[in-house]
Amino acid sequence: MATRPQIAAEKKKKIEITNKTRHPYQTNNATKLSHKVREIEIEREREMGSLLGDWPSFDPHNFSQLRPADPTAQPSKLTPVTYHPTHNRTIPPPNQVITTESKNILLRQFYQKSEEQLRPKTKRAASESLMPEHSCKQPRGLNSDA
Amino acid sequence: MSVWNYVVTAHKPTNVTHSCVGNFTAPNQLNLIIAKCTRIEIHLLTPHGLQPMLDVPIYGRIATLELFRPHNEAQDFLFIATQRYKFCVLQWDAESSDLITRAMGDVSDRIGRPTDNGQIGIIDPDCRLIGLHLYDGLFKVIPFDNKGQLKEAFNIRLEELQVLDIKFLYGCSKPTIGVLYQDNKDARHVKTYEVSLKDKDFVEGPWSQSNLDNGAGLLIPVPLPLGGVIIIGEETIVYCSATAFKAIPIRPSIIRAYGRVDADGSRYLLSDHTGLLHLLVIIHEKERVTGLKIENLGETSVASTISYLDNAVVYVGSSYGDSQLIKLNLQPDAKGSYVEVLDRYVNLGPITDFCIVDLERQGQGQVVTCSGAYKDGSLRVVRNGIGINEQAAVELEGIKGLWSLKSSTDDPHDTFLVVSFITETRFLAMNMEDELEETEIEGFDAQTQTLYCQNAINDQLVQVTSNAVRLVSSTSRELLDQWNAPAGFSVNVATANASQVLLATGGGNLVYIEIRESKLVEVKHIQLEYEISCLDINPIGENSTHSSLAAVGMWTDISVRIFSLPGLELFKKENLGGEIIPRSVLLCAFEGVPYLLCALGDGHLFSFQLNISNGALGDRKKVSLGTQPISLRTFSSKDTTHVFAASDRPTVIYSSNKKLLYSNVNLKEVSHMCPFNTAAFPDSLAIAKEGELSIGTIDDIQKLHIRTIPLGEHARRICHQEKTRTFAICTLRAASTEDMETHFVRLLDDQSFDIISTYALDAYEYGCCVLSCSFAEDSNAYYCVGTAYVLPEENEPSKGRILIFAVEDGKLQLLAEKETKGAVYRLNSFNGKLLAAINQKIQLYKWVAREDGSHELQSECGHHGHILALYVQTRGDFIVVGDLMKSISLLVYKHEEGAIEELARDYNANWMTAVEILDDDVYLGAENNFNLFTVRKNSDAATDEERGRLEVVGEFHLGEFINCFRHGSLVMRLPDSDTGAIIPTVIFGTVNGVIGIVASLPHDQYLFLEKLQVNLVKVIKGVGGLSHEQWRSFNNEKKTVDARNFLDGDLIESFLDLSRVKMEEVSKTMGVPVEELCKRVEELTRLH
Repeated sequence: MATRPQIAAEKKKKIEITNKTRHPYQTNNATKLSHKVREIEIEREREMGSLLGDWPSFDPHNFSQLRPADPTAQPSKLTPVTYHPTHNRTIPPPNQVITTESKNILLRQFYQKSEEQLRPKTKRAASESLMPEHSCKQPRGLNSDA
Repeated sequence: MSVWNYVVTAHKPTNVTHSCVGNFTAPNQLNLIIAKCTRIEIHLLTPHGLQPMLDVPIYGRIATLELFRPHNEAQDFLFIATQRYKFCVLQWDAESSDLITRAMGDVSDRIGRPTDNGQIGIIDPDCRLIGLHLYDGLFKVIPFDNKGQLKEAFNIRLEELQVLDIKFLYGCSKPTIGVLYQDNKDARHVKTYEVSLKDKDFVEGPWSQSNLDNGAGLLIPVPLPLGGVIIIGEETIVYCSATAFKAIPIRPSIIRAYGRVDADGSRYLLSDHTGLLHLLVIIHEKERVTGLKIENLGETSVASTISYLDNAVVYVGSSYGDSQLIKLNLQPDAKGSYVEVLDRYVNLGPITDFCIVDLERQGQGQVVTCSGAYKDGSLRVVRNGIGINEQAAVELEGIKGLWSLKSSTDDPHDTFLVVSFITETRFLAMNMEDELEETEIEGFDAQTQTLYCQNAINDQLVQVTSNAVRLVSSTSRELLDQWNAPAGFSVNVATANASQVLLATGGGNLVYIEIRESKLVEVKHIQLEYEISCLDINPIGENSTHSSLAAVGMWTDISVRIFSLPGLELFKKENLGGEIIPRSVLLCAFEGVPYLLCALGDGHLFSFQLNISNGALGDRKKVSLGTQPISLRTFSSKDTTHVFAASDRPTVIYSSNKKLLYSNVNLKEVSHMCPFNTAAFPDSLAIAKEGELSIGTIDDIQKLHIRTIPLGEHARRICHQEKTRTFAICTLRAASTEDMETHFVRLLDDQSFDIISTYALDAYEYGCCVLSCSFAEDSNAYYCVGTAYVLPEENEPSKGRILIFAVEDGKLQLLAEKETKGAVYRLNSFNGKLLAAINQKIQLYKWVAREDGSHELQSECGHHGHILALYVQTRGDFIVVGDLMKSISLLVYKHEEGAIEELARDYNANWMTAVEILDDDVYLGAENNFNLFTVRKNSDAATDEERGRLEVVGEFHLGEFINCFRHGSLVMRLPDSDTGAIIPTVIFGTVNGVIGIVASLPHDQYLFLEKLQVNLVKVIKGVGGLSHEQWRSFNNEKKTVDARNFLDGDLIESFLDLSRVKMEEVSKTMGVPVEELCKRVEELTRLH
């Protein structure tokens, strides 16, 4: 809650900025006011035009022949065909039936840590090459951790 | 009713929850994909608008719907995750038009607390992984390998427990998420994390932003070149990235839906809770964000999803009102709105309450729902079948046939109506005053019964009577030629088209006559072995005035035969079986597919697909339409040909997606029908009913008709009063001042739906229920309204009122009120008294006359012992209570003692959303995990303990949140043709706008359909590989058990959509002929 003023300050600043951009004519002359209001309106319309213009178009034909429905008419119901698959490809490829790894997050982190601590040693071991693999089988990392 | 129940959807969900746009069905096709809770719809963008392609049932409630493009793929894949922790990745196979499953899986964890703020499913924009937030404190990752295949999922611990939104950020070298969360001091912040796939852990992300708007609830990731996210709050909108922070204030509003407009992410459409559509623009100089700007564009339905489609057209999906297709205009309209509504799509959701009424007194129920919410609230009148709106009627007894004639071939309108009686024929015509008056057609024979009448080529008319065929000029109306029946024979049945006449004289003689210019030429005459019962030569080939086939129905051998024309050579003989003769045959084409229809004297109808070139018949199906002989006739509505089957249960036969559908007509008995299109009655039908000839227009041809009555406020309860022909509704309207709602009781005329009277409730007073009833010793009809004072400082209302209104001179008059010590959740009429559910208590009130003649409510007795008694149904002296969280209990009222006692209860902890009494012993309940269940009273059990327990006998996962049950039916119920029994039904309404039916079946039928369902599951596969068995299994936090004693009607009725080959496969394993299966399933479809 203590932080809200921060946002509020930002808000105020923003308002000032927008006011400046919207009302570039700072004037006290009352006779010019209505004229200015009109100018501001035009400015706003032009601004909206620039914001609203240039809508993306992927295929200019899309919706080109669509006429608006009668607004007093009842809303329409789109009724596509209902799909009832009878083919066998609703079953995914065998390696694409996904499950979650069964290892607990805590255990996974334990193993990861131990592997990390092992890594420099195994690097050296690799350079010394041909050390039998099984010597690393014991969770040495765990022991050294302790 | 019984414990063997059949559940089926009459109106599919219409609440749009998700939508997305992409190239799904082909690389060059743009598709809009919409999720409606348990279904997805695929649409194609075309020059003419949205073209519906496919409606796909999903075996799950859709929690996430995303399109994504894996590397090296030309089109998008669809990712769907369901609320019960299944997901699938679908791909469209354009060649076979099939959805194929690329991957699927189960992402549930055995332990974990499901998230409070809904499930989140997101896909990395660079397609490196799928992220899921399903349980508090866990973020699940499904990685993609470099070939786009999914790998084993793993969980990462997420420190933030109260997550509001998570999105992937664009343009990060490592996949990075932004997490919007609330801390334990209720402050809201955004944090970013990189997902390290190698270490299966989070790494602190590039930036974070603390202390956001207290209402911040939505993150919008911004694509490159800008990157970063937009954070939508209730009072501010913030743009945030590693290098920039910009904020703008907004008018306080709740924004839950956004749609990106530009690929570069510079403009977004936002919709707030009042349905105002805003355009949010990121002002930037090249890649540097300099500010934000928001503009109000106009009003739409309150959106739940927004998808920018193409060329300034936008889809607005709504949960609270109709979904819309809108166009963004460059110039504002007169009201200053830049939004133009191009189309609206019906949404009944959320249905908070409904009632079943027979407004037109035709013996058919209509459902009137309280639909929508907030400003989009409305009443919807839902009616099954096709309505004939009578325009004019005359009394005429004994009509034996009806035909309309034009005065010349190119006249767009009909002029004459030929009405045939047993001893005469009358000719009616529209006069200058648009009245139907009797006239003459000089060349026609008015002294005998007309068997057939027809406009013929060259401005001629043809009339067939029992002794002759007469050809008359339609301009001079003089007789041009005549063919006489041979001496000793008379014409029994006849048919004709514009250039041909086919008739049967006694003794099996079949005569074929051609109509030429001013001439009738007998071309062929053959003799068949039996008498002919019916004939047809309706042209269905390319030539609309000439047929190359004739259909002939026969006595004695009960067959229908197809002959060639003009040769009258037998193409095909089809034995119909049984002893009932065919009474009407018709050749017709639906959606370009030729059919032969053949109706029997007992109301059954055969349909065959017809091969025009060789007369071969296929795809034989039999349905029961009524119990009396049917007469078939074609008519056109909106340039499409349909068939009207006149009988005791008139039906319109039409085709949708190449499937024949049968829709009831809202008339009781029709003997004959012909189209009658005149200037005064355009596109009308002339209909002969008992003792009456009427002219009427016909509704659009579809199964369910929905009429919308917009209210502009949220209707929560509805009730109909037959005596005063009114509806009473409880509504609420957001007041212009902040945070206040005003609640009303409004009275509506049941024909015009105009609001004729209003009673405003007190400040903070909510209308909770409304009932129409009368009391013992006072037969006047009253509206009783139960209310609650919902004060902001109270957890549970401690005060409410019961208001008794009478309708006097069309006005609501408050006659009595009674203060209660809590919310009056429910009122029931009970033994001539009023039964109220008030907080934890059930309370019975008497309606007592005072000395001055007025009445008051007097408390008689009550029953404590509920958490909150929310739903109550009664039957005789029994009271069934649905509790907030303690399932169903059964109470009984003891007259002598004047007390209410508990008899039995279900000890499961079900959080109820609706209850209904099926019969004396079986009660139906719906609960908030979207399940249905039935419980049974054990009155014969040996011990008190067993008698005090309601036994759960049926369980089923519906996947819909039911708000209301009502006994009744959407269709006109006539005894089933075979069993003579009426299957009892209960209608339910749901949050997603589903109207469904629970039907209690006889046990043998239940067993038969159960077997069919088991076999269908093997043939109709679950989309995405999802399992039907798992989907329908009863499931809540405590248990998951297989469905029992409920059948899935939606699956069973999809049997009718199967190809013949698949039907035969099912038929083979069932050991029941396809025809029999079709007939039995068709009969079920007529329940709704």
